[in-house]
Amino acid sequence: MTLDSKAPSGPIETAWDRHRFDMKLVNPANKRKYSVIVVGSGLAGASAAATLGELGYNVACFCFQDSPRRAHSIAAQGGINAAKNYQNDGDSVYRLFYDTVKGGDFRARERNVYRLAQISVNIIDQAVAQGVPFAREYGGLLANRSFGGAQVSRTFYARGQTGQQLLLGAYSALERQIAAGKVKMYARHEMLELVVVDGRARGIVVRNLETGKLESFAADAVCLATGGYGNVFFLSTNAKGCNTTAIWRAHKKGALLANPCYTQIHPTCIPQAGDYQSKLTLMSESLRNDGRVWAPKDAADCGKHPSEISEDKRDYYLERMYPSFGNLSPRDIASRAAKRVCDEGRGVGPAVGGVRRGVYLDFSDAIQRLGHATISERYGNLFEMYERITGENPYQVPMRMYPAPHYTMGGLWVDYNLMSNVPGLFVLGEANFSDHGANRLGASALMQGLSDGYFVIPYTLGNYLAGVKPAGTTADHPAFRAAEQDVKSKLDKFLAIKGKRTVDSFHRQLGDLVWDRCGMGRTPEGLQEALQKIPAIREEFWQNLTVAGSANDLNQSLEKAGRVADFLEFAELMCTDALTRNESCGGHFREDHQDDGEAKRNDADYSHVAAWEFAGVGTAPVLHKEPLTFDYVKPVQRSYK
Amino acid sequence: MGWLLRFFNSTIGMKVVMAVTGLLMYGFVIIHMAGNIQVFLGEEAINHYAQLLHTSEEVVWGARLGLLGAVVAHIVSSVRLIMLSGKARPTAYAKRTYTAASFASLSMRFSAILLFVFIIYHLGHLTSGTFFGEGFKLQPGLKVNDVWHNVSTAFKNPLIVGFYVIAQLSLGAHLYHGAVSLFRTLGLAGERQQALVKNLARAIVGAVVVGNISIPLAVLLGLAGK
Amino acid sequence: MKLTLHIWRQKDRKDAGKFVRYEVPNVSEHMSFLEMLDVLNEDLQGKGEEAIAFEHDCREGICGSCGFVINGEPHGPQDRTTVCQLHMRTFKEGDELYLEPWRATAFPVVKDLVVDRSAFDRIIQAGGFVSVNTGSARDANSLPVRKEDADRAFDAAACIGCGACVAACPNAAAMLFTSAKVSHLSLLPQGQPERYDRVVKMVHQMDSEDFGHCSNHGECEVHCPKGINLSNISRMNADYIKASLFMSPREGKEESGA
Ligand SMILES: Cc1cc2nc3c(=O)[nH]c(=O)nc-3n(C[C@H](O)[C@H](O)[C@H](O)COP(=O)(O)OP(=O)(O)OC[C@H]3O[C@@H](n4cnc5c(N)ncnc54)[C@H](O)[C@@H]3O)c2cc1C
Ligand code: HEM
Ligand code: HEM
Ligand code: SF4
Ligand code: F3S
Ligand code: FES
Repeated sequence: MTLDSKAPSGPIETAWDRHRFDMKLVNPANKRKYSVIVVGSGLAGASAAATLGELGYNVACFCFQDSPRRAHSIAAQGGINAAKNYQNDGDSVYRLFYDTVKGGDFRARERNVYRLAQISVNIIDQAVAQGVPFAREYGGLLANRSFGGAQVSRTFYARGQTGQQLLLGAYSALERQIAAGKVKMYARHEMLELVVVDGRARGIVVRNLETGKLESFAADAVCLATGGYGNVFFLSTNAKGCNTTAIWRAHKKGALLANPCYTQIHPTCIPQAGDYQSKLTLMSESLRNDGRVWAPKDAADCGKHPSEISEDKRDYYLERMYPSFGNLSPRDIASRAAKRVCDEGRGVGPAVGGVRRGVYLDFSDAIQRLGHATISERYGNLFEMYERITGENPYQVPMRMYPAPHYTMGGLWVDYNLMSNVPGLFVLGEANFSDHGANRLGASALMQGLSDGYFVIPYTLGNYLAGVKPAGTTADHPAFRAAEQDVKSKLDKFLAIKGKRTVDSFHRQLGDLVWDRCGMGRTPEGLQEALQKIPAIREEFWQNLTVAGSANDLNQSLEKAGRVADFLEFAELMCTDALTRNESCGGHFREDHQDDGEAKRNDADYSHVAAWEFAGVGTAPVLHKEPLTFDYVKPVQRSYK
Repeated sequence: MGWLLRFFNSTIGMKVVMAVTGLLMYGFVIIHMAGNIQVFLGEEAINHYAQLLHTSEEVVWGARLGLLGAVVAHIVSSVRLIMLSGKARPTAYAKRTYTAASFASLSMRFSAILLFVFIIYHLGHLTSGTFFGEGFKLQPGLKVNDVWHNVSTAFKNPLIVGFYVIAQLSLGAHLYHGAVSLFRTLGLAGERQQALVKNLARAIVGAVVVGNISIPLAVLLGLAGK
Repeated sequence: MKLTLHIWRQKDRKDAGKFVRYEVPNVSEHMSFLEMLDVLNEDLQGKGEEAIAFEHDCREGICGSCGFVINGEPHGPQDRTTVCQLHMRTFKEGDELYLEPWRATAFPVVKDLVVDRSAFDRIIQAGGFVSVNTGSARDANSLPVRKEDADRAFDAAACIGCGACVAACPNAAAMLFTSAKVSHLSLLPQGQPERYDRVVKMVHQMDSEDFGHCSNHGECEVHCPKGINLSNISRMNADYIKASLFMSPREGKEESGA
């Protein structure tokens, strides 16, 4: 299989414009004859469904929450990038493009990234027109901040709730189309199967989570905007419901999954407090602007109260190892450094499973220098949130932080038109393998989700539909019956096992394993070990799982069982990808490929997208490569020393 | 006219009716208290005031009808709203803890019933004399009540005074929450004005209740009246 | 610590439902309330019993999924805190807690502590948006917004749609939620063209969903995890009165969707 990115050639600055002109249009009168399924109502899904509805297509939109407004995008805090250059500090489309390609450690497709940077500007206009209350200056104009180490102020934000406000904007546009009858919304419906007819994506099978009823929906195209798979680690900053089911089932129906090993670990999250911990909470990266990160020099001091550890017994390790960036080193570097310190036994906080995993983020210097009032003005609500969760007052006791899985750069492979290798199957937002390469810069995921939904898919989907005949929405093809039957037997199986262990116990076991072996630092031995253990866990899962209740009503354990079953298969692919990529790049850090702690890329052999084809559970997947070329930003080694 | 009907059928519309009629009754109660307090100035003052009010029968009946209309609309709206709220929450919580709702706000319905009973009794008592018994008098040669005499006699009875006092306290509760509430119902007060509204309500309601209660108490204790 | 829980169990919409008593030993003070329930659920499932259904997703207090009533208080006793952020250190050894779903006709119980809040979505459908199609926006900075207005609009827009205001209100009114959404847009210049049309449609939708009226008890405000202010209700009332009584209606299509 050759993977054609379909990215237009020629000058990058005009590539998207030329491409838009070359695409076919659907006659306005014909648009209502086409139907489109959008799975997901996060930033990518809601913006796509609303926009496609506005254009006149018949849209059916699905989400598993009780309302589209609750999609995981709602939790994004920091902000959204756009090359507006409102601050006149040297930003431009080209600079955003450049930063993103470099930030992604030269593993992203240049032309996609350029388009993203171009569109970023329109996103802000659109959001503001919808009434998104971005932060403003006293003059009434939009405020910006610099974020995640960027050298220009290009991040737009709405307090610490940017994702919420952007999603509410997209959600309101979606609700408007629902009222207008152009979008039919199916909340509390989970997609459990993709239906492919004659090689084209033609529909999905969903389960009504309240009644348990299985239903088929047919359409002329299917868009998946189902988010990332960070919850494969069990503990992550993702919402509890985030899962890989939609993309995994599409993968099993032939869609290639690209770069699954690219996962991002966020350095500042509240550490785990006990075995019962259900998720991890992100603390804004902005804390590192004023806080100093340290750990005790001597492992013997780790149990002591921090005030009893004198200055000379503290190791400000980021300042020591990366003197020029210090506490502001990029996410992956800061994360790995914290892990190393804890692995050496110098972590602080409660020991979970015998190990203390936490380092101090200390504000005492900053409080002395700037005063309590300034610190409280800058970080008051974060400090409050921290205290609510940990019961400790960060004004008096240093905060404890530990890295946590946060975002997944991998996902279904798509071309420049956001179409997967299965015709008619489009993938948007975090669910696709995205424009971020091996590492995502802060404030870029929101940008990509909205770019895909508002400004890319309306064109590229039209181009696809213009080439196919409207096929109606009746799901009477035998492929639908077969898919429903598959889903049903799987659900029945979960209920029939009647074993001893709960879904969560398997999920935790899997999560611990992949976090340990395929988390921040990866070794071939560790990955091989994981690849041996995962099938064993999976086997036990299918023999010893217990799910009470029935398939005919709201059954949250049954829902989870399906998701964990998919994670158990997916994890294997993730480790395989990590093992196959014999280099370190961005979020993928192979301990055997480093230069004194720095990621060591291998451009000669790995400057490609690794797109995997499903070959059966437990069977080695087939690797396809899409070579990456860099015509504009020449690959260089990142260094933050 | 559909728009008007729709307004009055909306929950906010019904509340506007409550607030506007409540405001009207508020006006009456304040003036009523200010008039009655003249008992402390002696027979001449209070009876002269009573006469003054009755200078024109048209005005008296106009005002009475207006007031009656307000009371009826107030009651009708309150019944409709109470029914709606019953429908909105048919199942009560097994446990209930209130944090912000005050005694006054939670007891609006009960203070209202007490007020209703009071008003009926009070009209029969001091206006028409129906429930007053033997001693009810008109001013000599006039169709105007001898308020000085009636009040002085009526409030010698501790039971009646007790009832009046209780009624005034419930009036106070109804009026206090009513005042704070009506500003919000009518959209007249935002965040900033809240404290002002509350203080204003306290002052007015305090004055009305203290003024009203002082009359029967003073008579009972022999500090006023004959 | 050890707790006694009385949890509302109801199989589906039609079931009558009842309280079931559970003892939870070994509750750590560092657990969140939902983690405490997770532990209980693991235990129940281990015994082959069905887990207690409760809604949750972000567990960070932002998605608005979670929420039930603890001893008569929506989201429990801590101010400005959703149940997912409520931690067990708020409780003490031996506490006896009653856990109930939001109770309102407009929020039918789906199962156990899960209710159907789609009425909120329908209120938004009635007009909680700015009618602007994708692509038709002008440059964001061509429309300056007074910072104070933007901030107040944000305060209103911070509503997470959890429904605690309805649960807390003695009349099961949705006034705080609806007014938050109305205010968010009415405070911004972008919301002006549809301001009066919007408020009328949203209020009528709210009424038709069987929510109660506002007696200004203020319970909603104190139980709102996002501190949505009562002044929003005042603002909405003013707009509604003005729109209903003093403004010329749109010809013809009064109630038609978008
Ligand atoms: C704590 C946190 C903070 C963040 N902060 C930032 C930030 O400041 N800036 C930034 O740019 N990015 C940030 N991110 C990343 C960003 O929020 C996400 O990448 C982005 O929101 C993903 O959007 P999405 O639309 O692709 O998917 P999601 O928002 O995850 O939406 C997925 C949708 O798919 C639906 N769905 C999933 N599976 C199914 C199924 N099987 N059937 C039916 N429906 C399904 C869900 O119901 C949901 O509606 C943050 C992430 C986290 C976790
Ligand atoms: C006669 C019998 C009365 C009845 C049955 C009655 C009933 C009520 C009820 C039930 C409410 C609360 C409505 C709600 O749930 O929001 C209310 C509010 C109110 N009442 Fe009365 N009431 C009576 C008399 C009065 C009187 C005499 C006054 C004033 C002097 C008054 C002033 C008000 C005011 C100002 C409100 C607040 C309106 C608002 O919330 O906007 N009421 N009444
Ligand atoms: C303790 C306090 C009160 C006293 C001493 C008092 C006294 C009186 C008197 C003497 C009259 C007859 C006046 C006349 O006919 O000339 C009267 C009439 C009336 N009072 Fe009161 N009153 C009190 C409280 C109230 C309250 C609280 C209300 C209403 C909430 C009220 C409502 C009325 C009404 C409606 C009339 C009839 C007016 C008319 O139409 O003639 N009174 N009151
Ligand atoms: S107003 Fe507050 S309580 Fe009501 S839904 Fe919004 S956030 Fe929840
Ligand atoms: S509690 Fe209810 S009565 Fe009004 S002020 Fe809040 S909606
Ligand atoms: S789970 Fe999202 S707000 Fe509580």
